[in-house]
Amino acid sequence: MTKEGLLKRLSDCVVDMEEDLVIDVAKEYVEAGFDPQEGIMDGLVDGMKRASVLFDEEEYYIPELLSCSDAMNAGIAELQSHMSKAAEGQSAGKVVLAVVHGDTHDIGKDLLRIMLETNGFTVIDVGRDVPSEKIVDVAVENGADIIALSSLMTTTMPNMKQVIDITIDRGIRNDFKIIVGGAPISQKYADSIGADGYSSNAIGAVNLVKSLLGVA
Amino acid sequence: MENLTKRELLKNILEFKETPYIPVMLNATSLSPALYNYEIPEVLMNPEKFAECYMGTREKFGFDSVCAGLNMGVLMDMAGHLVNDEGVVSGTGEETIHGLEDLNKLKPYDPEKSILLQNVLKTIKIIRREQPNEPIFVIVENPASTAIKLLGSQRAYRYMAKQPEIYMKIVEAIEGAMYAGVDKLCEAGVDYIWNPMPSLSGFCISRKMYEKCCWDSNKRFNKRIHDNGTKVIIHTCGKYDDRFDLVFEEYGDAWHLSNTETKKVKEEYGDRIALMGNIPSTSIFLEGSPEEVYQYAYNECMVGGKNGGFILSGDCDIPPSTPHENIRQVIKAARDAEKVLYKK
Repeated sequence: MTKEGLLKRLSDCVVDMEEDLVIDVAKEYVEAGFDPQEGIMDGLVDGMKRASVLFDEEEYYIPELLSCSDAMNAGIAELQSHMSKAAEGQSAGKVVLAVVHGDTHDIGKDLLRIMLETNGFTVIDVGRDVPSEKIVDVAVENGADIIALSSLMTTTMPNMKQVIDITIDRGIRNDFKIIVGGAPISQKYADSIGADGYSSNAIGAVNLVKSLLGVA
Repeated sequence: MENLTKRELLKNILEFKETPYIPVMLNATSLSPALYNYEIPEVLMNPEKFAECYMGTREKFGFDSVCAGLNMGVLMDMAGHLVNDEGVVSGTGEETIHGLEDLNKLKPYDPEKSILLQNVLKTIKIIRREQPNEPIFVIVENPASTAIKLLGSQRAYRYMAKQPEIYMKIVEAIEGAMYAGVDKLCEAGVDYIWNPMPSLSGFCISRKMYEKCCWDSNKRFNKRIHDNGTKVIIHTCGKYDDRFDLVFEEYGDAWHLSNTETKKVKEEYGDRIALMGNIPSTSIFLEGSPEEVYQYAYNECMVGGKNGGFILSGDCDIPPSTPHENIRQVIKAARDAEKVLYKK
């Protein structure tokens, strides 16, 4: 099969949620002598981008998107085992991602992680129900460009402001762009707590991160 | 109307009998403990504190109906001893089922021994004694939503996408326990079960998946409550525009709306099912000026209250920091709208 044909199959495996088949196709791709990095970007990541479009068009929902990302990650693991460290590519920026303290709803956060990684960002996922101090500590330790905060509950959204206030108190507010999202959050709320940006969904959040970092 | 209690008024509204009253039923789940400086876990374990803050908050603002509990303890009692995804005993039962084989590890649910359920039953007694005319409700998620918590949402959604039969078996495995719990609530005389379904909305799963994985179980569960003579208000939390026709067959007496236009739903279903809602909890309730809140609430009443069958509410739980004046404006809007709608 041609390189283009194999890339298309890698992409299709992701869109079709073929977590097992994608490994076979990735092996076939590498055995044919093609570049693993290209296989990731033009095959697997392409498939995830197509899945994101289907999500945006309400053809795919969270279950499908999670299953597509499982297939993509399985394929990436296989291709990365054939790559040297140096070939793994440059990061478009560093994002610390967390669900704020008191809140355990992490699907939105995980979707954003997938989307950001798909778009070439390095993501440090701090998890869910994370104390505000810890989020800021991790951002400082990793020299993050962006802190992205999620909250699904009206009871926990004040903890987003707490994170922002900690960066102000420590005199490091301007070291990061801080963005917020989640079902109860609005642009008005984001403005009121001094966030740098708001998005109602994962795809919008990727565009927001790109715009804040000046990434094309 | 003067002779009817609020419980009877609500029953009339849910049964589409002519009722010149618009109840204002606010879900103040987090606001009520916050006003009394209590934490939610603290009130869940103490019926006196629970009743004190929920009754007191209702009385302070003058809205209708009191919440008597947030769940029946099914998850905690059946799976609280199991290890979750983080490798620790969960306590709550969430994210403890990793596959069908784990179902064998669940403990049986005994309503008589369930601390959380027994606390809810005690709370119901206190509220009934102290505020006998007030409708009482309990927040109960249905088996389809509970199974998502038991599995953890990501695993549940993955099963729905690739092995739906496993997810459905897990739903069926907990239905008996949930029926046993809800039977006790009905026997205790709650006026309605408030059944939120955020994890099943169009923000999360497709209509097709909803129909395949959840719909039959939802119907069975709500019918059980109905057969016990208790009302069900289904909180269509999230996007439901593409599946209201399915929800219509789920034995709800009312839909508590969010993320949709009341006018649109009223036009399509308003002569067949009562509606509740639909003031945005954050952008209006929390962030709006008193004038904006009043106007939004008044408009909702004029749209939803036409020909009756309407309950004014937020579109979800009211944030704990909601300005108190905004709550008062919502109640004022309902009283003003009644005068115009029902020529009082």
